[in-house]
Amino acid sequence: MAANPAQALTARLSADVLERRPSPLWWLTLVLAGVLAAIFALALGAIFGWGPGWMGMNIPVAWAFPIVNTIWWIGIAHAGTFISGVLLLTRQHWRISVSRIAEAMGLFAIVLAGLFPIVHLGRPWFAYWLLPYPNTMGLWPQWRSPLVWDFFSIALYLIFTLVFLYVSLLPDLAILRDRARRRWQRYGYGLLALGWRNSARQWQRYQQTMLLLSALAAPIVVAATGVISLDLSVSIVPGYHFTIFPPYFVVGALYSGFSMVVLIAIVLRTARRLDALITRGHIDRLGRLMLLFSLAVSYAYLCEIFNGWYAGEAYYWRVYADRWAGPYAPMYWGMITCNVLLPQLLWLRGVRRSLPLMFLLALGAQLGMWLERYVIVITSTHRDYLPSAWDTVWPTATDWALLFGSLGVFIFLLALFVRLMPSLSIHEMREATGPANGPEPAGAHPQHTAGSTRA
Amino acid sequence: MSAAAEGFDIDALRQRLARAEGPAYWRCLEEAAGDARFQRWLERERPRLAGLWQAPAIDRRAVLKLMAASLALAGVTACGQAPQEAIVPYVQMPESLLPGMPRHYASSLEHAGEGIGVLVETREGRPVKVEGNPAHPGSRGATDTYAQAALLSLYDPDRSRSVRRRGTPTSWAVFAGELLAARPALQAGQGEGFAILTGDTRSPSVLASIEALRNAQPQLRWYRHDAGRPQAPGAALADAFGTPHEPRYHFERAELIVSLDGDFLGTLPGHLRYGRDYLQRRREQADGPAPTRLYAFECTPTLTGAKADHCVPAAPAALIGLARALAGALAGEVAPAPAAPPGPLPLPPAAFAALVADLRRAGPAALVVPGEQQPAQVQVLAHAINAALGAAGRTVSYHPPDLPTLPDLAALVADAEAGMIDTLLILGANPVHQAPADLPVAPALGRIRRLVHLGPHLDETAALATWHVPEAHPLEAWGDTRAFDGTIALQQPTIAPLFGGRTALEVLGLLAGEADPQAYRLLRAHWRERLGEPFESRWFEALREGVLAAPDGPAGDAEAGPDADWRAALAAADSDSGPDSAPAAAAYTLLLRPDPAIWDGRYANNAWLQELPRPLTKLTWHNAVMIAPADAEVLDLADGDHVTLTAGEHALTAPIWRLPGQPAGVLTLTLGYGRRAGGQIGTGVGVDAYRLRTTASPAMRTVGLHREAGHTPLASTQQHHRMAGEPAVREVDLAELAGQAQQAARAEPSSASLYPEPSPREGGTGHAWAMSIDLTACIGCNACVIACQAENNIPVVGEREVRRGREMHWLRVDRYYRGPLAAPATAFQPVPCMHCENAHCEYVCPVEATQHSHEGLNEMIYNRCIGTRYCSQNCPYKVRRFNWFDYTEPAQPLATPAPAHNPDVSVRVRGVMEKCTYCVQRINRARIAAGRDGRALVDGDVRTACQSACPTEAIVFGDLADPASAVAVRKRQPLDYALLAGLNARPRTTYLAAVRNPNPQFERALGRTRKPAVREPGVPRPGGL
Repeated sequence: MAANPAQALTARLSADVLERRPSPLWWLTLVLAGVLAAIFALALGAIFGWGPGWMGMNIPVAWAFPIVNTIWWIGIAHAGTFISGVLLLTRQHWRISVSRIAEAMGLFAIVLAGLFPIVHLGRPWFAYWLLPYPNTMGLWPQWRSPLVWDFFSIALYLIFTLVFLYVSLLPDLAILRDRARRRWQRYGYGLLALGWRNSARQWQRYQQTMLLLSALAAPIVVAATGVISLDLSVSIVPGYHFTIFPPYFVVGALYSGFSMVVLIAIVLRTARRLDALITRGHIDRLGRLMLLFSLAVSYAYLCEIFNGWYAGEAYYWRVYADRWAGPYAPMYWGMITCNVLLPQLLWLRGVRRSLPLMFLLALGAQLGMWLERYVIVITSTHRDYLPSAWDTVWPTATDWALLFGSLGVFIFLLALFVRLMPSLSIHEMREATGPANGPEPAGAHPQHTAGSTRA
Repeated sequence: MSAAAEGFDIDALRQRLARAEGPAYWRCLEEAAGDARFQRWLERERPRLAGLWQAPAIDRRAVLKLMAASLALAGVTACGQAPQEAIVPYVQMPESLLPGMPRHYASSLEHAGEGIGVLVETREGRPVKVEGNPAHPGSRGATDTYAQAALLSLYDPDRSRSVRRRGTPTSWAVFAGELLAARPALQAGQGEGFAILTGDTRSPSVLASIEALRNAQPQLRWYRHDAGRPQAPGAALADAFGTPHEPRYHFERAELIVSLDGDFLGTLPGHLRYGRDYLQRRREQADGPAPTRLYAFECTPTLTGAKADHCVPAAPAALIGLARALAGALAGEVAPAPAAPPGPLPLPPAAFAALVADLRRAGPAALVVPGEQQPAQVQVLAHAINAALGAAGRTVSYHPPDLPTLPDLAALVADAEAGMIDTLLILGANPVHQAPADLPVAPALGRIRRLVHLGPHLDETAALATWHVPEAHPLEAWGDTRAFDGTIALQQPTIAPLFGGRTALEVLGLLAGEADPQAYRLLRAHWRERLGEPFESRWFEALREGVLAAPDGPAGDAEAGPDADWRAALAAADSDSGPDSAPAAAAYTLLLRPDPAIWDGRYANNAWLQELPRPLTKLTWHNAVMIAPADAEVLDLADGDHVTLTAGEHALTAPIWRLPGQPAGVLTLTLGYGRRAGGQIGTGVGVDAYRLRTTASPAMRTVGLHREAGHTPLASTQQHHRMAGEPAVREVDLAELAGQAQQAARAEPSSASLYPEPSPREGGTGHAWAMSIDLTACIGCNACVIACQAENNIPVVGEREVRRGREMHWLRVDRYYRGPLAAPATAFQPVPCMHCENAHCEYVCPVEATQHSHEGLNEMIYNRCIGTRYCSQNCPYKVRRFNWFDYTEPAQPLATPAPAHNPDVSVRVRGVMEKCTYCVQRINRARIAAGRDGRALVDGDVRTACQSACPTEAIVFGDLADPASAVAVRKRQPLDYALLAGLNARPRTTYLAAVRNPNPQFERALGRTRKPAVREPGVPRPGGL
């Protein structure tokens, strides 16, 4: 058993889940994140109990931080989908070291992204009125409203991400089931494995399904972010009303998604000593992607400014002047620094291969992307048409509680996930580590070898 | 148990238990023995239980008897005697009361001594809305914010609810007994030791009752304290005419008006009528031959300055100088032109010359209006100029006031300190809060043996009073009012007094010996003497019409009023106030003015008024020291920074507010804030400006100013921003308009489209509701804002929410500036929902909560709204309002009491969007009424709340599909324009561009050439002033 590297890998990875006692660091992470998650719950309770007035919003700026957070989390979610889907299709070998965690991250991010629009509502208990269901009021949603499209795109994205993650987990769940010693683990993983028996037929179906889902991933990524951007660009608000928004949002989401993958990969590599699996070469490649999308985002910024100028509308031009020198100028220049200027360091190979620098740049990108959404969502309506209606909003304690609380929920769920599920794809790692024709773990059908159907 | 140790007679216990009948339970031997020691022990150890033990036994039957009796008696208290007083509904008397249908009663309301005619709308016996009474000559159907907000004061839960003797509730009968018992002393001493202090009321019956008392008891003292208008009525012109005389202006005849800080559109008595007359004449000029022109010189920005063709800020000293120079040029015989200018004039010599030439040209059609807060010199000079121009008797007439000149609060304090007052009746005044700082009112009142206070609240004065009597609200009591022009109107109650209030007439009735004074009887007795026969029919007519006596005094051209000696008057005024001296260089001149929302502090507990954005500052819930932006820049002060004003031993720390157009070196602070006992809402709001007031100079003071560290974030609903893109407010000069009427204000893009016309089409079948707002006529007075709030149950959100930009007013009045910071022109623009035909709010709502009606209304379906707020994001006018919290929850201290709500309009819950509905409830009511009568709706059937409140008829609402309707006629005018027309929203609410009539010579001399309000491309300076 030990002689076979694939076997050894399987043993090690499944033992990580089944046997290893959680480290103090894990406990610390879980508790800290749990505290933040509790704060999140408190903030939600206040908002649901008393009203959305707890958040910093008012009449010119009736969309504020929940919308910023939604778009931000969607951007993070895209990384997972993109890595697991698009990179699978393009057969990027290195992706398997990060794909599982990226997919889980994507799922949790999309859950949070879907939660924030409900937090945003004045009467969240009627959120289901966006569903076209037969009702006594005889009313359907208004199909002209981008919010309805939004609802469907986020819901679709959530379902897709969940299915993708679950399907990709199935063989690993079976491995865990078979190697589990404790009763609850056997039953739990057994139920979740849905009777996976490693049969060739199952593998064939599995490969087909994964291929199909991967092919769907790219359009769904583009659709989800693109449709969310339509919420803004369909309106007549200067600063929202740009046809460039869908691609602009997609590249922005990818930029933030890849930087999130860098963060997670570095954390995981350090915390779980996966140096051999997640190499500096991988980080380097991610750095190149970050640079690419940073350039794309910069192009979008320029394009937007050009449009504002070229349209010849005073209102549009004023939005930019206000972003550069108005009350929100620090956010704008912070965004430019994080998303345009700092990523230029990624041209240097040394920077791309330095874990601390990459970590900081990725953090900066996350901050920058949050600021980008802040700038777009808030500065556009705070001074739109009639100066008499102008006003500013600033985040309240509740807004911060929601933002950091949602981060806490995210990390809490991720921490639970890495404990309960293999954070590296066992079956894919086995393929990657060699001929992968060693005997299957007990209970598997001996005639099947993983990866044999992929040639 | 200690008693057990002492032992007792166990045999006696056995015997007693043997004798006992029925079930008698016992718990321990001592208890059963009924031992005295047990009793002692019980008292020592459980003193509370001892009493219970000794209480007489209560059995089941007794309990049932008591319960039955309580129930029976509980019902008894609900029975009261309905007053046997006939009140008459206005004009259309329904055959029987129709539930759900409003009834209107003609009545009148008094604010600061001035009566205006109102119609009170009641629903099932409770007043829900105040409208103007068109039959009343003093106000002609107009109302102001105070009249509109009177409704909320009626239902104010903080109103005093019982007669109190030294703070302890007692009853009216006890109070009446005491006052009646004092009557022999009153009569014996000819009134010696008795005194009455009235506020600013000028109710004819009250004044007459006091007069009658004084006639009977000559030693009775009568004082008057008017905190808002400290000058006694007519006193400024007393030296000219020999007796006090009040000016009355006739703006319908005035062609050229020069205001010397005379805010005739905002605060002068009669401002409602003046505004109507002035703007009616001004609007006619668009095609008529005699254009009016208004020059305003003002010490602090006012509504009149905002509407003026030329508005020139002038410090008080400069204003006196200007008045003197004008008089020198125009009325040389009164005030000979000084060799050198009497001081720094607020305008260059060439402009002055242009002004004089303009005045000469206008001659008798000119009118100089001095401010009531100005020193006597300015008032005398202004009227001397009127006399010299021949305007006296034409554009201004003079009338003796209806009340004698009375000693003021200072005299009261002096007399009280001298021990000359034993009994003082304070009728509707609050001297403890409103006294100048140099008067020790509280100690002086403390020396009075019997202090009777009649007031609506347990205010600062009530706290000192021996007797406090709750005052009935004008909407629930009989009374009468006198308008500025002498029109007398009756006040009829529309509901029984909610908290058992009494009126001044009734308290005075007690002093006159009436054992059971009833305001109804006293009022009728008063008017029976004066109306003559047939009294009953005249009385009923007065109740029905709301007017009892037409204006008094001369009305025609011929009557100039009595001859006046202006020279002597000026000499007297000069000797009174000494030479005109400019204040020391480092000092500022502080003006103390009544507040545009809470006046002298009496409305401090009215949340509608507290939250009303003040017309020029747009501040709510606080007063602030208004300072010229240039002065603030020198001192490096930002809005809300604290300064301390010092004058003599008086000092006050207050936040500042930079106000464009405020003259340099002049500060303005409004009165009425800083209440110490102003109710739940009014207490502690703002700073108490009375602490800087002195008896000698109540309106103006020289103060030192220095910075403090503190900062108060002030709740303003609009910041100082410049416009960009299409100008929201458009103005045209009259000269331009005459030349090229077609282009005037219209610079609108073509609305040609490939898409079908939005439904409903103009001119199609059915009604097409629309509104037109005339910016020439809008004076920014805010009456429409409060009217809308009262009509549509708009919640109050409080200072913190306003600061966060969450005020709920459906109708806001935008204020824009044009020109230099030091002397800008101001423009007002009321912005309700535009009811766009291509409404951008509609297609973005995911749940179809906002939709278009077939009559062109953009309707909001509250029940369907889930609060995505997309509609507001996409509304270019930002007229939608969102319920961020449950503002209408009854437990909220600011929530409007439920009885004040309009039953036709739903009260919105939290989390839903709301906005102007064009008063859809009124449309439907009119439609139903017309349908019942079997006729079509005609123009004028539907009047929105803002429209009917507007004193200048700036707002017109009606059916666009009817080409003859007023709104359709207005929209055909070349001045008509749509706000942000370039967005192709096709708003149904449009504006008529403001027409200004500047004097080109004056303009040139001021060094300003006005650019017509055209497209102003480019980038504004963000954030700044």
